[in-house]
Amino acid sequence: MTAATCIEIKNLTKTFDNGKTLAVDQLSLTIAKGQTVGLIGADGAGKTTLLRLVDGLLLPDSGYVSVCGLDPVKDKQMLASKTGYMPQKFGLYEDLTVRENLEFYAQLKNIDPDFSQMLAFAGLSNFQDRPAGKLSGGMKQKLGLICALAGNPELILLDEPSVGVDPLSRRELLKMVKQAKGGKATVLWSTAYMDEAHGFDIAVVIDRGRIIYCGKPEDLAPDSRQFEEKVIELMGGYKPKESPVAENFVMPPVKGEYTVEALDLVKCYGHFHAVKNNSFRIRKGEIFGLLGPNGAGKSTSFKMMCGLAKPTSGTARIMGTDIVKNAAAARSHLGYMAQKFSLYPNLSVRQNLEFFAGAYGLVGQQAKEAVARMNKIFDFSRYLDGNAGNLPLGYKQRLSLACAIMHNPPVLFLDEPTSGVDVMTRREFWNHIISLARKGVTVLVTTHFMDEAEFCDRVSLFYRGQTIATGTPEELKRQAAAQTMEEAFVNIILQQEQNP
Amino acid sequence: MNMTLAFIKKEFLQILRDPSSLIIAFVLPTLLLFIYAYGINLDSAHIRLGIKNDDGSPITEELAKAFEQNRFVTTVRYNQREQMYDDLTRSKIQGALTIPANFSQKLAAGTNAILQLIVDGTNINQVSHTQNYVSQIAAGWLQNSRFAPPQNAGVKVLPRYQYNQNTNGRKALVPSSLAVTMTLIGILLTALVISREWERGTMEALLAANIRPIHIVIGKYVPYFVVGMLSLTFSMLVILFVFNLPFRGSYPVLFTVSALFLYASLGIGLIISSLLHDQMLSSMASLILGFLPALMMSGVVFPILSMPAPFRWLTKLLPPTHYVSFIKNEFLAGTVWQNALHSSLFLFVLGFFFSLLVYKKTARRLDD
Repeated sequence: MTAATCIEIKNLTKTFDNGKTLAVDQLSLTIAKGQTVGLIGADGAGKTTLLRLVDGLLLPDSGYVSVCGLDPVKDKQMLASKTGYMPQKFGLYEDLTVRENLEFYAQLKNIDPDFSQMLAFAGLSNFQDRPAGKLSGGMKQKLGLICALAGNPELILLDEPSVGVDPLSRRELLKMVKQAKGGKATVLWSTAYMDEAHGFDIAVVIDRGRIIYCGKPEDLAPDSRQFEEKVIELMGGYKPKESPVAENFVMPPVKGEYTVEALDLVKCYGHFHAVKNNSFRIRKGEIFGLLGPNGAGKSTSFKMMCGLAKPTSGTARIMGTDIVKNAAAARSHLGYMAQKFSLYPNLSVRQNLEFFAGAYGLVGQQAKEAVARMNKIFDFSRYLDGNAGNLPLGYKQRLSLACAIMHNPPVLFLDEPTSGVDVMTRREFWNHIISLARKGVTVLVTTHFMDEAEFCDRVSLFYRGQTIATGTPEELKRQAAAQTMEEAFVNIILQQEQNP
Repeated sequence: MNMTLAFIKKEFLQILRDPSSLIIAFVLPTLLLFIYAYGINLDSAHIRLGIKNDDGSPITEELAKAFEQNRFVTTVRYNQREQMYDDLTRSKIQGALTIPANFSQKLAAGTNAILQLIVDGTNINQVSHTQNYVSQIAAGWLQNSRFAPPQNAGVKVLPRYQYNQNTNGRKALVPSSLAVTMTLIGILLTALVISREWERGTMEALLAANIRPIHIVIGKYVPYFVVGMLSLTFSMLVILFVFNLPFRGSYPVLFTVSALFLYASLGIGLIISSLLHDQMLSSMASLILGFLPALMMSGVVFPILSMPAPFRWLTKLLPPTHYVSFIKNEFLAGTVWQNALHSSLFLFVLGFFFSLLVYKKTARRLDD
């Protein structure tokens, strides 16, 4: 090992459940000091396990790991001051304020940094007395990041820090990490965003516990779009075919042109206007994307649209039925997939499906058929009798979608359906969504992946409780003079901030 | 040291921000005190009664027989007053009845004859049962006696209470409620605190930082110990100034033994918390393993002496058992050194054993 090596891993193996599940398989990897490394892989490929092994949070079964010349298991105490680790579900104390969280983690590392400077670095100076639980998703991640960065660690380990974070906050996170320790820190960052991974020095692609690619991202593909194709190819390739979801979908007859209408929706919490005024109409068979930074009011609008939250004023109509006046009837036309996994983790996959079949009023033979159909479409057979809570994330999302479309609803609401899901599963999901729309299903979807926004027929950009732009992806890009949707998103929001 | 302090500070901030922990620490104890003082009536039908007959005439022998034949009373005959009082002190009997030498004389004279009854005042329910039984049995005997006493003759029971002189249920029960309160804080509150760190994902961040198990253990013990002692002080103030109950023991002894009891209870709570990584499970476990035994097996509600032998033996392993026997004495009889030292020793040994377990079971890695 040379002085310029930061992480050296040789033949590392880690299994769970008494050797039944292989998470990391004979993996070897060397990372030089000062490199930024993107860790890519499908759900359950072993990214998180690898990061935890490097930080000494797990004991390896066999193999050799050396980090900054130290053994992460034996020299854990010494290593802790040299590394900053940010877990996927970052451990912020929700009832402590921003500053208290930061101070606590700094004290644990036995350092006394300049807190004001760190808070300013994360753009949190004005929020330092706010409880961490009341921050938006992006702000939480930034706070988690500066907690991990406290003490200027040599090595920064980040486990999917950009999941569920809007493009604007994502850029800021990336900038913060790259500036850490004057740009000299070694960074290991696991991600589902291919454009992010393409921007790093090294890309490492993991599949079933083994490295299938390690090298400069540019060597694989010149731009992030082609990079994504290449990565998918490496993982076994995705062959788009007619979605079995749509194939089996029975589209009910629909009257009228507009199936979903939001009419001057307003929601106030006390003096705070979560949604100031939201109006849009969606045609039958249209995919309508709702985009916006974290905390813009997308989820609140969503909840009002499906009758889960009562609008302060205004209303919404689903298939012409008023959601405020006749919530039950309006909801019967609706399939809803919530942002958080909202199925029963302690029930098996089969039991969840059976329950939702019953909840949608399917009985007897009808219910049996619906469950069998979903099982066939989403290929649950491997997991059918296991608890839903133990499913890999991609399968959890599949199960949520299955439960949402079992009763053949003509309108589908999807709230960040692909958040935290790997690139292959995302492809599959969008194949389902697009095929369903072709059959006439109206889809309302929120997402933080700007490449997904390109699949929408129309998008609405939502910011601080208001729609600031609506149109086809092409129109928005033209309006913002941008090449990609991501650029358009950032430009339009920055414009809005300059002249509100 | 620095880290432990940081951890303790964080824990305190969380306690202050979380209304539910303050409710468990201060509102619940007050509620319990009121329930114990006014709401609970414990029926215990059978009593053991000591009888010493100083009169010795056939008519008084018939009276003693009436007591013997009653199915709610088991009688023990004594010849020596000292022996009888001794047994009363050791709770072998719940009442000591003396038939005075002039009993038959007074009865024959057509006046009120007096029966002197001494009752163990530490158990308020037995006090009223014993007193009622004795008056009723005596009155029943008088009506049906073969000796047919004169019309206006009567029997009067003159009760005296040992320890608890102005018999008042609150005095006996309310102090025991302290044991329940402290168990609540020790177990219920702390059972959640480590599993919460697992559930919210903060444990992973803690383990990644430079924190050792000892910091976590001390950091979790200290804040809840302080909350528990504050809650004890608060409950004592309510007992002394709202219920106006007298306290015969010594405050330093009370607080020392209570501290040891809290130490042991916190141990149970923290063991539960470090073993179960789910708050829901932890709170159920703490109710079943902590709260129910404290209520049912410590002698607060059911007398330990009337439990089957294996259970009596089991109660020795529960911290509340030792604390309840101590706290009753402390309030009603004053410090009984032998009892206080015995309780302290047991509590310390249990507490120490539990804290070793907590230390051993505190995770060092994610797959521990």
